[in-house]
Amino acid sequence: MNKNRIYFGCLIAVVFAVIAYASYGMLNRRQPEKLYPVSVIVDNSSSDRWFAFREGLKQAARDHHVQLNIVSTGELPDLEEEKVLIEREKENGAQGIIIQMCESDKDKLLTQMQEAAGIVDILLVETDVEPEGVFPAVIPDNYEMGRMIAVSLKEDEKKLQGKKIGILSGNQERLSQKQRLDGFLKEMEGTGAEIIWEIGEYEVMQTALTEEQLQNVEILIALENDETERAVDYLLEPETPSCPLYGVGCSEKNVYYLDKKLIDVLIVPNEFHMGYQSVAVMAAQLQDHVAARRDSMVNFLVVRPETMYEEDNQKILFPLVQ
Amino acid sequence: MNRARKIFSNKKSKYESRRRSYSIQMTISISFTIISVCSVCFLSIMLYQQFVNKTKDITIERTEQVLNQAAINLEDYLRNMRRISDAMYYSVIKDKDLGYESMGVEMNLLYEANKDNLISIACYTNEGQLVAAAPVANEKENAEAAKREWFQEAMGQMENFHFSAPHVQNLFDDPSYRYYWVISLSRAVELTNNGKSALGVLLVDMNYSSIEQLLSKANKAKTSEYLYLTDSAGEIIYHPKQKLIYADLYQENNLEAVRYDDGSHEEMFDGERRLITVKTISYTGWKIVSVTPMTSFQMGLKDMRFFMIMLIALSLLTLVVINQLVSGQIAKPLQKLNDSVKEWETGNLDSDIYVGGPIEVEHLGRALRATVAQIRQMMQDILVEQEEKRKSELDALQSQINPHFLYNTLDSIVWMIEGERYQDAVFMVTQLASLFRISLSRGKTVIRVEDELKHAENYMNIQMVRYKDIFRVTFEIAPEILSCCTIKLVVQPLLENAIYYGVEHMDGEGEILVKGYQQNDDIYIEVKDNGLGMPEEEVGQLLKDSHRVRKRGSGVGLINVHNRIRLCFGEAYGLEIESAPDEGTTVRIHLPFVPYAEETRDKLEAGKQQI
Repeated sequence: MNKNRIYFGCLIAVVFAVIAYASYGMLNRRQPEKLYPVSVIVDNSSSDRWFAFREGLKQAARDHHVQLNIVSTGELPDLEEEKVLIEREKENGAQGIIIQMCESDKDKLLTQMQEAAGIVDILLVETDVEPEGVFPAVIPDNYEMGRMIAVSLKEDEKKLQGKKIGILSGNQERLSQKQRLDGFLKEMEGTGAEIIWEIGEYEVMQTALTEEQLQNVEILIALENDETERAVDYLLEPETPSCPLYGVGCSEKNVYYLDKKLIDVLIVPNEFHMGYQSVAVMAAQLQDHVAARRDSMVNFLVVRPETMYEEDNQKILFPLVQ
Repeated sequence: MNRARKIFSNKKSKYESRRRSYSIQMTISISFTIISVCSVCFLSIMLYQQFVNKTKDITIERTEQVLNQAAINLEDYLRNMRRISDAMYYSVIKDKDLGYESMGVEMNLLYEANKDNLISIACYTNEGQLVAAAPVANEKENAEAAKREWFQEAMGQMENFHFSAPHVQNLFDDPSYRYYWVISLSRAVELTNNGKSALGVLLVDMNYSSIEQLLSKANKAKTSEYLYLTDSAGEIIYHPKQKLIYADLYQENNLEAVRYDDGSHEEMFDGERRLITVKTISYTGWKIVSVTPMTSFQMGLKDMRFFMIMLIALSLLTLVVINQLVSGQIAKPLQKLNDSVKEWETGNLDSDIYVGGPIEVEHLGRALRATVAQIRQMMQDILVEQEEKRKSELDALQSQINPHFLYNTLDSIVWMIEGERYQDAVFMVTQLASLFRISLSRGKTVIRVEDELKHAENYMNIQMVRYKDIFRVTFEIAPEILSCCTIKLVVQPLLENAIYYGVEHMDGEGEILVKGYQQNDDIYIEVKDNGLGMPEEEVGQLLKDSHRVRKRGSGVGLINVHNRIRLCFGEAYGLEIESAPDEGTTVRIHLPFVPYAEETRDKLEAGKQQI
């Protein structure tokens, strides 16, 4: 009788456990899916150049249960300002921040950035920081992009000996820009071409290129989207003599001028991929905090006017829906 | 072999003992529960399977409905585009002689009327020269329309409409940096120029966004189901993850799906089992493909699965409780019967055997109760028989004494009369009368110690006369034992033995001491003589051998007294003998301290007062 009661008690306990499990399962199913709030801070976020990037972010947000907040920004002048933005987003409840760093080699400020982020996950896009590996990053191979400009230039110009090259090198405080320049210069070594000037973004914005500078240059190199647009603008000015332009960019304006043959070669990073991948990596980090943090490389295209309508290129260059 | 048999038999016995240890209620309960669980599980699985099939059917039906609706919308859209093309061709181009008329105004009107769905309308000569276009735009220098696929297809199959794959329009310059994805609808047209007919191509560039919007409506639901559109070669026209596919971040089985006939198919792709429903769009050969991952059925069924688990658990709980109640109801009478039998087994012969419950159990109880009553009666009979036997034995023993006394006394009186000692004879007769009065005791076996000692005194008085005072008798009796119970005629045989075997043949004066006293809850009456005594071996035999041949006396010995005391008071009581040669003998009567009362006496005589 006693044994019977024990068995009976055990059976009832098991049945109640099953009922509890099923109830939990049913109630749990009713709960709305958890969304991870992630903020995106990029330089001049409303710019056309981020169109594909934004598409990638949105697609990944849908696929990976992420509540996306693309922070409206203008020009991001320095790390201090980015730090303020990070703190504000953190206060607004962001669990992860995808950020394009405007500077990359100030150790002290980087530490401050880490402090500002606190428990919030940080992911870098477009450019890494020095020392590399502090934060996970989703970036194109910037060095290779710079090198490919030089390779394309060498393909086009059989004799580079004595050619005068002007470089709009963008924000050299940023590691990506530095790497592009390094890649370009390294590849140009031994060609005999002469770099007559190399001007950064800050200097260009402060004092526009002089007529003399433009008159002397035979080949123009732009290592950043805005710099390429700026170079096109210079070339469109009537007094500026035409010269080949090799640039990096992905905005519609740059693509248009590539189509108009004002740009000879355009290096286009796959920013849709970069946007998608950054959210995917961030979501994986937020869902599984012990997941290994690692960098992701995104591809880029080397496009010329005559190849831009090729099936594979147009799929990357042009947004599907306007 | 033997070892194996032993192990087998051990296992078997263990199994049997385990089986035996289960109660009826437990056996019934477990059996019912197992049957119930099996039945409920079977029914639930069947029900669940039915639900799964039904859900699958409903999902397929719903998917087909969505697919058909999307196909209708798309066909409607494409029909519209063809109508625009027809309107342009039959109402404008055929009526115009390009030698002196322009079709620009009508083309613009048609474009304006449909500009939500169109990017441009253009007409080319058979050499690829632009005749007219709407909206008015600069043709690109490198447009080279004649080299385009849509142009060549139109010229190749002049009787048909041709729909191209989605591509970026590369014909006109848009200074606002905008590029449009379009699907080109091209057809060969007959142009009239100064009265001469020539072939040309009419191009209607449909806005890809319109098709995208049309189909993305069908993909709005937040489920894992989706549909996509391919051309007849399997190239993707629309896919909810088209950009991901372009970026090689997502794979689709479009090249395989395009080979499926219209209807539903199951396929395995990228490690996932999927239900594919295909519908071909008329005229274009395009195919809308709906993809439903099999896991989405499972997702929808997860709630149902939990519900089924809960249903099974609740049913099980109810059944277990009912089983317990029913099995308890069945087993309870048997349990009660078993308990009453167990109580009877423990020795409580007065316990009542349970009668109740179902007819069978009640019958069993009644039969058992009758049997128990019968056994009880038989045991009672045996007890009565044994008591009677004991009583008759006691009576027989006592009857051995009376003739002995009578013989002795009468012998002494005869001897006195012959010796003319009439006074002594009178004394003897008087003492004998007193002796008989006590001996008879109105037929009672149990008398007071006082009466028994009086009897002993009478006897000794007779013997003293007979033996001419060759010995002395002293009585030292504690007064508190006088009113206790004893059986009669226990002291006198001891005094007789003390005379015959102790003091009769002594050279000096013999002494006999009768001493009575209480010790704890017992009383002792000692008959002590200073006679010849006996060796230890002989003492040991005195109370054991009932067939000993006596040298003298009536033949009634100590063993007689010993047995009578034990029969009346129990095995713990009787005689104790101490003796040594030339030192005398002490015989001690050991009795319980039982105060004399009528009731006590009756009980002792009935044999119920054994201590």
